[in-house]
Amino acid sequence: MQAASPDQRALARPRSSPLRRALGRDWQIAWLFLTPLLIVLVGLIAYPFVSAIVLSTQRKMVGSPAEWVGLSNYRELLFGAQYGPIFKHSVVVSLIYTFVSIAAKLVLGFLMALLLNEQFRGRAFMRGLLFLPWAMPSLIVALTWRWIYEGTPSGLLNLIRIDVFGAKTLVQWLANPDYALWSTIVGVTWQGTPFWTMMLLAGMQAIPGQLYEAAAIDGANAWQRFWFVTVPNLRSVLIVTTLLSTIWTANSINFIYILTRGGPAGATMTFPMLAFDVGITGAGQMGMGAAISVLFFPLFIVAIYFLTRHMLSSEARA
Amino acid sequence: MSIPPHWIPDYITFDNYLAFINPSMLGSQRLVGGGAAIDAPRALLNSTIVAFSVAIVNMTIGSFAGYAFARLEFRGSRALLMIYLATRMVPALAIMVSLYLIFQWAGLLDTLLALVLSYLTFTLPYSVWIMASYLRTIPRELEEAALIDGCTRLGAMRRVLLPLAAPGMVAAAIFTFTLAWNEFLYALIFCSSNSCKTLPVGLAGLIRGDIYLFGPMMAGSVIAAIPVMALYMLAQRFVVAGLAAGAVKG
Repeated sequence: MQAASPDQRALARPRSSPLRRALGRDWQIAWLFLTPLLIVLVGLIAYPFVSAIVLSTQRKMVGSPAEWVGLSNYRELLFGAQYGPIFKHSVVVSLIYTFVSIAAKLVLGFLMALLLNEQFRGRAFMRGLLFLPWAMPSLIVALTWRWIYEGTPSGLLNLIRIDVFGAKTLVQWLANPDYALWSTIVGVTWQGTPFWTMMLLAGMQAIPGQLYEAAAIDGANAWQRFWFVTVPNLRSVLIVTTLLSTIWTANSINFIYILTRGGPAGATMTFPMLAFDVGITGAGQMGMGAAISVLFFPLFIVAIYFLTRHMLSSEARA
Repeated sequence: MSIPPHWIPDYITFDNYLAFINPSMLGSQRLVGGGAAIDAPRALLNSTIVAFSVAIVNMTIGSFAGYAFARLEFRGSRALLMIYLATRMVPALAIMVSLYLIFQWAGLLDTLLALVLSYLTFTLPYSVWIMASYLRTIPRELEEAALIDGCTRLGAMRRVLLPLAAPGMVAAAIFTFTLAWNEFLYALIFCSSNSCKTLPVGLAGLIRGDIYLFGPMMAGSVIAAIPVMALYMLAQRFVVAGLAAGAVKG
């Protein structure tokens, strides 16, 4: 707790009970205001999460009673013959899927934000246009990409190849295991980039113009102004955006559900899609599905912790 | 195939819109017989009810909680905010099965209330974050002046702070409206009948096995995209300002 400023102390009610000293000046009204939030937090997030952990120690099929099996779901996922290879594969796919699309969104989003930060005719219109992919329902974006990638002559890419380039064969963008993951990443990057642009643009506009003037006077060229003024000032924006975007990308299954459902041959089976596949559709092994989700939770925390620390320490060196 | 390809259609038809709104008019496009027909007007209504409810509840809970985090002094304030924001890292899938069982127990499956409740789990962290960081940008002195002039704390909040925080509230409302409007996974799992299906679920229902009814699907997509597009065109500035308030100010 930071110390109260003199005028705050003057405003605080004169009577100071021990309870107030122990719990903070405004504890009564604060907890009153937070009650609805706490109900949601406990009832709809914490309790389900704990019961998901419990569920992951059970063998429970849809419509049948649960049976306690200890850690055998986890053992099966990590070392088992049936789920082990599938699970390991989904870890690799998830990592590629998340990191490649985040890196692409970062680069493209930065470029677009730099462009939109310049003065030019029609800038307001371009900004409005740019944010549209992000506001579009992701299901619809995914359906549209499904049509673009369609493996018949009516799919947009195949139509262009045949009509414009006179190709004689059809490319199976989604049904070919070599292309499916990359096709999905392109679609997900298309939709996610505007969020990066939006955040970075807002951050760039908060950088005082004097910093650039001072750098220019000191003889910094455009690249140096970007690297030593723009980038360091965007540090907190970059951390927040990376965290949010990583969480969204890694956890979302909308795109994969519509485009490939994890196929072909597991080429796009990220871990949430696998959890969905195992726990809900198909086998309906709710316990095993829960175990997959729970197993990824600590990985997330570790990834986010290292990411934050790395970005903070690289800033300290700069 | 024609060379050069014709990108401009020879004729324009609204049949796909009719086919989306009234599946019995699918006519020759009824490729797969017997598939569950979607009730598009009902889905549109469901989506609207759910998204508005989520936005309003978020604005209310988010304002009170944001105020508590931004302005009130109490032990555990920072820790609670951190824990709360960290809940955003809980994968939706991890809690989905448990939520399903809870809603089943409460008899809420296949109701819109289940959707509103489950959407609160992933929208509230954003509205709390947006409101808390937006309220911090408003000078404390304004409220203190109101307190000195004899306003109660609630009065100062209602008469001074909330009017100034309106852009933040608009941002939170629009952002959460969009998230709720676009949500697909929970709606797919928690709803089974047409009385509960939202627009995205209805659209996905046009995929029948390997057959994609692209015409009606795209017509439905345009209908589903129009409200969020319009909202963003009108209020994009607020949303950017609200979202950026937390990030820029660090």
